[in-house]
Amino acid sequence: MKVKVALMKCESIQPNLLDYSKGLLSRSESEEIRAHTKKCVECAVILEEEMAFACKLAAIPEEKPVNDVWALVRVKTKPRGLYLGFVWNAVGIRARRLVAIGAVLIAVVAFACSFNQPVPEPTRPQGTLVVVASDDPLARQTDTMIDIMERM
Amino acid sequence: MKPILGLFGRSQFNSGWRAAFVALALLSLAVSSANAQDVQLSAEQKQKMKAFAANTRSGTESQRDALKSAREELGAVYSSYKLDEARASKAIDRIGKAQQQLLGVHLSNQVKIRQILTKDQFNTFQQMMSKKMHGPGPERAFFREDEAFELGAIWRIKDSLKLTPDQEKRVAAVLRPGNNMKNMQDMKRATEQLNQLYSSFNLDAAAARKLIGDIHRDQLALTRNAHSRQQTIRSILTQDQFAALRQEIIKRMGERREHRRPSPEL
Ligand SMILES: [Zn+2]
Repeated sequence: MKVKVALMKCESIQPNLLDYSKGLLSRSESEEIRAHTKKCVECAVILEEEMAFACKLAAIPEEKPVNDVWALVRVKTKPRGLYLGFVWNAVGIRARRLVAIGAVLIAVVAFACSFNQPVPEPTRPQGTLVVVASDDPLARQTDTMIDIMERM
Repeated sequence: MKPILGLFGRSQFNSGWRAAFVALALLSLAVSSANAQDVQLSAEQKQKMKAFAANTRSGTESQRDALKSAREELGAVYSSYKLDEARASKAIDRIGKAQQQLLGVHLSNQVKIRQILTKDQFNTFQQMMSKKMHGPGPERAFFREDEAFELGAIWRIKDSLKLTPDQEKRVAAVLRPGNNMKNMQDMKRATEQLNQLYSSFNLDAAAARKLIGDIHRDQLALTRNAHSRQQTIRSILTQDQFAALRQEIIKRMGERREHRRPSPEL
């Protein structure tokens, strides 16, 4: 019995299954793969493996960015690339003071804004597939709820 | 702050600048506290929410640990050719109980949060939930992971297993896509309906319990189907073929673990 269907296609389908399982393909590519994996046992089985892998990856906790005001200060004040020391030396003491105080104020505003605000959420790219394990189908809801409550 | 102040020295930091500095600092703090949080809670509510969050986290984690250890136990049973049915049945029971507990944890969260928050606060909380959950529109696929590596392994080595045409036909029937489709779709539908119920402040707890029952029935069916597939695979393959399959699964899992790294988009 011939189990495989569309044998020629499998070679072009399989390299894209990982991207498909993450929802990174275009709509037409996704539809083509969806239709194929409904009929082709081999590609369906490989797709399941990729999804299992994605599921395990999704279970790894995300690293939360540290709410570090000094990192913000460093980013706001650190000169990058071009050396502007000669400009600094050329301007008068009043202008230097203005620039220095401006930097301090930016740091203070950055500190104040980061003080009580929740850490920005890492956003998922458009079209990412969220794989939901059937053992705990409300896992994401539960975790999101705890997460929001802890930040209150 | 020392290095920055050192730029102009203490004496040069005159009172005018100091006043401007303090005013701006106060202004920025005021701005930040205004948008600090979306749900305005009293001190008492805040304390209750914190305790509730900690409680839920520990309850959820202990049930997930129970589920994981039962899954591992069942995996150990499935690693030998001769199935220990009594041991499998105990592990399957433990899995079912943990699944049910996890669904229950979420329902009791929903009841409890309505006892802490007012209707308006709840609605704001709900908006925060859906913003986080449905962010940039991820597609949800319901899926059972525990068998996938095994099914993949059968296909990968089916030539070296030297299956007879009859064996190949029977293996294909076991692996056919959509074997679990109906249970998966039912579970997805019931979960969506449950989430719909949970989004309203006036919770219909009886309807929620019914949907939880439906979801759990699908979970039990999936575990039972998986078990009967294990029995079928053993009825198709010889002991040597089964041993070769186990080798391939172990090899495959090892390769996967080596490649495992958190990808930035997940
Ligand atoms: Zn194919």
